Amino acid sequence: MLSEAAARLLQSLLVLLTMSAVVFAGVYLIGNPLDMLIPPQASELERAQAGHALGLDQSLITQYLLFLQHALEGNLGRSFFSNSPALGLILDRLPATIELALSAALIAVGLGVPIGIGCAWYAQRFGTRVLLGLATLGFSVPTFWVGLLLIMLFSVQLQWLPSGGRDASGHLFGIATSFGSWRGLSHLLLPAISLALFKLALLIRLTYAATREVLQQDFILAARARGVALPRLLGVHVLRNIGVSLTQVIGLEFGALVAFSIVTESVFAWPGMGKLLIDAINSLDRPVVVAYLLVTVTLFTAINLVVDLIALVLDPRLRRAGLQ
Amino acid sequence: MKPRAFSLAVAALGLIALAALCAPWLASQDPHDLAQLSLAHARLAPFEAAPDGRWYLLGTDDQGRDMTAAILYGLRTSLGVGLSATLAALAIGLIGGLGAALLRGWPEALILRLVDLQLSFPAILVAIVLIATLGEGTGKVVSAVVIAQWAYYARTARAVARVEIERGYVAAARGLALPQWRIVLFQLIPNCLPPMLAVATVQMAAAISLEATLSFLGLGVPLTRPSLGLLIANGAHYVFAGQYWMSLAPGVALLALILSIQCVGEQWVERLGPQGQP
Repeated sequence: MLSEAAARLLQSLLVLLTMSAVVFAGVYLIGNPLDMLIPPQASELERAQAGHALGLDQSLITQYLLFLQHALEGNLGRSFFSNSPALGLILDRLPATIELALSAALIAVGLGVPIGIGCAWYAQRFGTRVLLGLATLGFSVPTFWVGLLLIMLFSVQLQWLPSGGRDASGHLFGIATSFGSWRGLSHLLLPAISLALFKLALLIRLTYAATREVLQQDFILAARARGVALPRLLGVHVLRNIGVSLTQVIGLEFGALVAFSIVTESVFAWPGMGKLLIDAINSLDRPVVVAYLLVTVTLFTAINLVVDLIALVLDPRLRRAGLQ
Repeated sequence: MKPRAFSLAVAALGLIALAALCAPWLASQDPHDLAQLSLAHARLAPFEAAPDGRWYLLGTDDQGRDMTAAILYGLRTSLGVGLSATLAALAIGLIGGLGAALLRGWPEALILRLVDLQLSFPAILVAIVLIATLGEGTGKVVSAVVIAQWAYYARTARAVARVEIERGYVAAARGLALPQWRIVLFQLIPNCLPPMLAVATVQMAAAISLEATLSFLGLGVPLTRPSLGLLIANGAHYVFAGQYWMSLAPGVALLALILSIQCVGEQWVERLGPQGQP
């Protein structure tokens, strides 16, 4: 178990190293790095000085090691526009994005898994067909358009909920968060639903398919013969068996939620790091883009690692199977 | 899904594709030709009469563009980007996957690692980052979608090819001492194609959605040739003024397009059985 965990950790570090090389290559090798790292209005002398200061006259390997060293020290350059450290800007926005992704994940998992199991149990009912049809619809509808529809309906027509922005004036356990006040929650609701919809549809379909498979197995028949009550049958016997693959999907999809929040944040003017990324891309603020990438890559690698470790805990069979 | 629903999806997709193809004859105007537009007709609601008594089925946008025409032409852009990106990604994935299955050893391990690494990052993130490095434009969008999606095809191609290589017809062809390229080109590829095309259909829905999302974010196709995503983005500014039609109708068209492709693709994958699963 411990050696497996250590092996996965090593794997994650390798992925991080690879991705840092990819980001390095992307930013430093495509085009002139100076164009990307210093503002276009700089003079020739300033360019030469900057080139020397950045070590661009050194060999590629040395440059990459320097980039790595700076990255490890948390120095990813300064934003061209606000002149504050790029990493700090990203990390300031991280809580808002995590908050949004977490709420969306809660909605998607809290609704998707029960609905999926229910649909599999009542597979022949008319309601099941309607729900699965809606799931296909939710699977196809573009996230940003759903956001607009929600704004049209709930903000413009009914005027029930705000159409954008974040209110983190409330506190929960001493942390400023949208969960801390009703106003905060009302700002969070629409973006969270819009972000959750695609994953909700995905989870309904995956849970449905996985449960259908589990329900055909002998131990379910045995449990039913023993007279196990329905809530226990579905909530324990079935859930435990679809749990391993579902945790893996949910973990990976959480990463996708963070990535997709780029879109939702732009629709709802949610001040997360995705909105910052789009603003940075539009204003050619490369250090911020690089900082976003490295933070996201680290986050994804961490999520993958945690998912792998949870699978090791949940499924004893994996511990002996070893790494492929 | 029932066969009836499948036929319905195929029919809907056919109609949409036909409408996009015939856009120049169906549309009342060329929405890209600014000379044909009149600002006096700007932001008319559906059926609302302009000063000269003219009205539009789906209203007009902020440039006085007939939304019906804009959507028909937008469909062309969306379908065009989706089709070309899908074909290119299919070709690259097929070569990569077949290569992996044929060569085995370290090339296979390398390709598999690359595929795994890329699939652990969402396509939308890969595409946005690529646009940020490559720059904007229709060609760049296509390449971003291709790079974001090739790995799905490569994984399927390798899985299918490994099964097909073991089949009798390949052994027979080898027994006839046919050159390797002939076996690959005329035996292996035709037999690998059906599941690949089914996957390609599902991925095409994803590609069109991806292009729409990039264009909505202002990272996609140029303003001069708006796709459905860009039409929605333009209309989004007027949502708060209650002028819903500029983003509602293009969205419905986009949803109909993606949904019909998705349904056709999923049904196709299902019919081929577990072998065709990505």
